[in-house]
Amino acid sequence: MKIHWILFICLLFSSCQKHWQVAEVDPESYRFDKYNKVKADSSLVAFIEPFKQQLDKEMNEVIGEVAVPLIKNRPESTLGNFLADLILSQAEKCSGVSIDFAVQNYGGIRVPEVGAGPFTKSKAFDIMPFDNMITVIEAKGTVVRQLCNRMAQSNGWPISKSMQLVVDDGQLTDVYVHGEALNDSKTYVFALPDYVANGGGQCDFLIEQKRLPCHVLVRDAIINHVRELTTAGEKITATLTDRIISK
Amino acid sequence: MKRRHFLQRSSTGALVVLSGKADQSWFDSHELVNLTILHTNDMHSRIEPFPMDGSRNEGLGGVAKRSSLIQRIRNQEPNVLLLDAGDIFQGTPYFNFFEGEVEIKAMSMMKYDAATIGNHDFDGGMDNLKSQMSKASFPMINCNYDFSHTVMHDQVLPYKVFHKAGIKIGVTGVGIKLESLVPKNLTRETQYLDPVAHAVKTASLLKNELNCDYVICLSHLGYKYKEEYIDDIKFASRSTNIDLIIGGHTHTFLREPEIVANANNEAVIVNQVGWAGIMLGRLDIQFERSRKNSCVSCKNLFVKNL
Repeated sequence: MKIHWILFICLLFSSCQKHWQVAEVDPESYRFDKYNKVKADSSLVAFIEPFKQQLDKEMNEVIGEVAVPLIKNRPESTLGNFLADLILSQAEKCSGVSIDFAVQNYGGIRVPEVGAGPFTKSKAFDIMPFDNMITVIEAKGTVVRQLCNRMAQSNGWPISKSMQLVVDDGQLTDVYVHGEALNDSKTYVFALPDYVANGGGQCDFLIEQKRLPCHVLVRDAIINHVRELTTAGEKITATLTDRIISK
Repeated sequence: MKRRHFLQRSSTGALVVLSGKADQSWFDSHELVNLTILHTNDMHSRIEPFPMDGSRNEGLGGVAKRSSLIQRIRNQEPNVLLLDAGDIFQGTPYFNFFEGEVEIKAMSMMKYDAATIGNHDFDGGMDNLKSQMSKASFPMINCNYDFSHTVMHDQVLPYKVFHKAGIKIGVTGVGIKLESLVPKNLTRETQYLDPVAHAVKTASLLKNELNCDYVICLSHLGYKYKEEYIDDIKFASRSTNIDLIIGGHTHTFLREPEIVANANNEAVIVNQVGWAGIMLGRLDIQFERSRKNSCVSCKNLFVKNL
């Protein structure tokens, strides 16, 4: 009899037991733009200030002038072309050899756009914050074809003007280097960030390839190139030249 | 308190939020508590707003404004959780020069409750991540990286339980596959483990053994891929015991959170708010303390006709 009472009390208790249940969910998001009138937190501003001063001294140096906005896009873009071409010319300077083509992995470019106007050193950091080095590789046409396949699969990476890819629905159909069809048995010399050379972006096949000496950060290459343009009285500019043709 | 509205999907969408009409009886005394979840992802060292250079993002973001807004919300709401879904580091010279110190200290000043580890948080190496986290007032949470043979072995929590006005909220975290994404010399002996299996196991522990009322997973897997790679949508659909996934990695600006049916046909909310601190996400979750099946104000998130 006693056990029944205990059972009854237990049942009563459990049926009255309360739980937290989600009644409703109300989503919202805030955008920090000029229409957002929230004032900057003075304690955060004060905390940042000494770091900011140190950076500004270093970073606000204007080293060049951007003539037209450079845009990052796929399969080909002005910002991508600008970077791939300068990687080629800077890699030739640092390695002392002639480079057949250069590649910049798409994901390695960290700004969607570089606006027209003064180009400060900090812009180079924005574009390429990583400490990636330019790596010069000497490899057979078969390896180049693997790399091109990889680029085609990921809808195009920036390549220098000496290279042309023809892509059909994500599949590579043709590759041209200096206007000639890629020759699988020929040896090519090319430059790209060490991130890719070390297997990043699913390029494991590059790890074991022969490397030629070159020791310069991609970011420093950008800064050097822009300074050279400025010295020559030129502005930063780039155009689309059908480097990657999608069928 | 701000105006309320409900998550809704169009009539063609499989996932809907309907107002469940429960009879309000005299014995249904009910208690309502609001939990405010604030979240960011992929801040990428954007301490100051984007520079005024005519580009698309000029003037956007900045930690000082974000801090003020968070403070204002804290003044209005008693129960706030502030979370981040990873990639705190890398993207501006602040990281190149100060190695993450400014990011971590700014987040501590804003009183972040937890963050998960993004692939770029390895960029300064594991020793650097450890040394920067020693300056943090909040923990890193992840359940699918095995750090046991690295310097991070005692630096990362698999989960943490937060108590807010009597509600128990369990928070765990998952990270993306590191191979071919982060150079090996940075991740060292870190082992990537299956995020779904480990998150589900951790969520079950949180809900069934630690009696959490709500389980949140911070995710740096990415929102949605065409390929078979695991993403937040696939993760949500294969999960159990997870109520909310706060995502990152793909820098996705979702117009509104997405509702996904989990393995038991229960609703999981997936959200992500772009990158660079351009936005702050907010979810107000109203909890009712009531007997099972007698929630008076429940507008059940439920999944129809799947």
